Amino acid sequence: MQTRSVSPRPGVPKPGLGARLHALRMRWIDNSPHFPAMLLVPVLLFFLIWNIVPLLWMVGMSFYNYSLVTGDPPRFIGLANFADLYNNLAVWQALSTTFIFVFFSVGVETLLGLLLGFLFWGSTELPGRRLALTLLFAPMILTPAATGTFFRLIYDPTFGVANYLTSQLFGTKIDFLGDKAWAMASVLLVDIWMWTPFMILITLAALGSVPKAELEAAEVDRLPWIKRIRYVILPHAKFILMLGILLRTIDSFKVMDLIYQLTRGGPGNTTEVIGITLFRKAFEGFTMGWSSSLAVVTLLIAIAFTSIYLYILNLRMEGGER
Amino acid sequence: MAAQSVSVTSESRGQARKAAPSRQARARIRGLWLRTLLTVFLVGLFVFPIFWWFLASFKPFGDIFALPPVFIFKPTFKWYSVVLGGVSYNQIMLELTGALTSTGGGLYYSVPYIIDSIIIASVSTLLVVLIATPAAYALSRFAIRRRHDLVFWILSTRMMPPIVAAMPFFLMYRRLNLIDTYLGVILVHTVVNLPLAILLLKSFFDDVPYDLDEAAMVDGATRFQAFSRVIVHYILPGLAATAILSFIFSWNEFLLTLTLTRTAVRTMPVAASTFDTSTGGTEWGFLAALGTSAMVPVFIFVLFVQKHLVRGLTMGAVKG
Repeated sequence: MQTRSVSPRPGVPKPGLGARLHALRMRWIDNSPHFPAMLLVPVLLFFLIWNIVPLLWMVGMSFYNYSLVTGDPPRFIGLANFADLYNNLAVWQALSTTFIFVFFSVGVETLLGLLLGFLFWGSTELPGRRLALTLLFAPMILTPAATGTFFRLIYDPTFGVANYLTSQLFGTKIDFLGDKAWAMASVLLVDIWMWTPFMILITLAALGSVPKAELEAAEVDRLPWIKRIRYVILPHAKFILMLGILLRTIDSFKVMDLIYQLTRGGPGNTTEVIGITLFRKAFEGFTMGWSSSLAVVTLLIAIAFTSIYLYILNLRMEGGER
Repeated sequence: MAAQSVSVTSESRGQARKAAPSRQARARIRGLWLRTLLTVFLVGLFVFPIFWWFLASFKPFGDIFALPPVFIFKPTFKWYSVVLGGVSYNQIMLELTGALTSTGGGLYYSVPYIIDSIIIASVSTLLVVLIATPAAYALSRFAIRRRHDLVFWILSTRMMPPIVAAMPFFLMYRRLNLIDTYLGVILVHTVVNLPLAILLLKSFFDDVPYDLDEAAMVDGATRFQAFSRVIVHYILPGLAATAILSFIFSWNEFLLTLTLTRTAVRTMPVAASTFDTSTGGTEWGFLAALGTSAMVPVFIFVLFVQKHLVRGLTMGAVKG
């Protein structure tokens, strides 16, 4: 660390009215019991206007019948929107599609991530390890909207490379995104491609949090691998792993742009996750009241996931940060 | 490291008669090679699609769809000349296919989209850093009442699905006449990136010992100066990483921009999504060039922040 910046008496004002006023103001800020609050005010204001207000607006709107198409003013209808949601099969369908998507994407990404993470972990002496890790960042950070477009090129039924491979290997062509039986799997594959590296990095971070001394002790004791994982690695690594998995769950639940790019929810409604339904109803059908009620439900589910995440984060903070 | 292990192998072969290397050492070296191969294969698997698009953007018309895929071809800049150079779409299509296709020209010219993206991402990043830094400092240093709840609230705003946020924003923006304006998109991107920036910066501030604040104040700095002139210097690398990540996320943001803009403001991701590819394969060269142009800046930025990326993607919770 540089010590240059801790210069003696930095910024001591020179005498003069302006400077004296400045000093006075500084002292006032300093002595003010509200100094920390002052630093927080801009953020709080911003969040109030751009977070709390829209949320309340949405919750309020969910009790109204309001369509931008008809141009009628919003009409209060109580819980009718929510009752309609409950009876709407398409909503349940979208919810179950979403959960299937979340379950498989997070599950496969976690498994693969753990596996590959262990592979990279034992390879600190591997040549070009750093380069390899940098390249692994690419899929998750590159513009998802463009990623979706590109995978349409790869999946293209007539020109795509994926079909070339299947026709060479199995002798058949598959319309990956257009076939009801394959669309979900194809979309999942792209998501897995994008986010497995994230789980690899989380695994590496988690393994990195295991104290070296304990690992060496286990090595000396010739502890079998299963026990090593169970008693040495997991107690230290589990927090980071759980945080990673939960974060992935929350983000996977939010998925929208990738699927929108790949299939727009089709064919039929096979890949229509709740995000797509919301988009369709709100920005293609402009039924704002009904969509708001669905958004409230979606938000409640997201809040449930988030609470679990916060609970574990809290545990970790209490257990002392590593 | 690689050279070392190679030299160990050759050395051990040379000395094989005198003193054969222990069986264990040999097994380790073999394991290392196996691992290297496996790693190269796996990284290749993840990188290949990106490499493929990159190639496609330079491929001449016929080669993009050639099956089996071609890897050796004469690179062409025709696609980029339309996407970045403003050459007319019809002219290129006439050259390539000898016929005029029905799609209108000029759509693929994406320099205006890139400029929009840059304006929105840089201004919102600037706002994010300006607002988040003092707040992160306060959250890191002071025993504020209900600090815990505040941190959690900030964190939970990040977990909200963007489509859920899009709807009330849309209604609000209609009232405020902010639809399809730079200001509107910038403010939304700011609010989306704020939680990340605050938590990330807080984790960087937490890494700087409080003793340094005290030392600065002993030396005569006021509380605010200790923050603005001393401590901020220590987290400059973290600040840069936060700014770059915020820029990337703003650059990549799709849904909110799509719903809150029409034609006056158009960012790269939104532009990339508007092209219809169902008409056939003729457009892929343009799309590959457009997508690659959207991704290259991100990739360059990632190289700068890769050290902090895990921390960034987990909002400071995991220090990779």
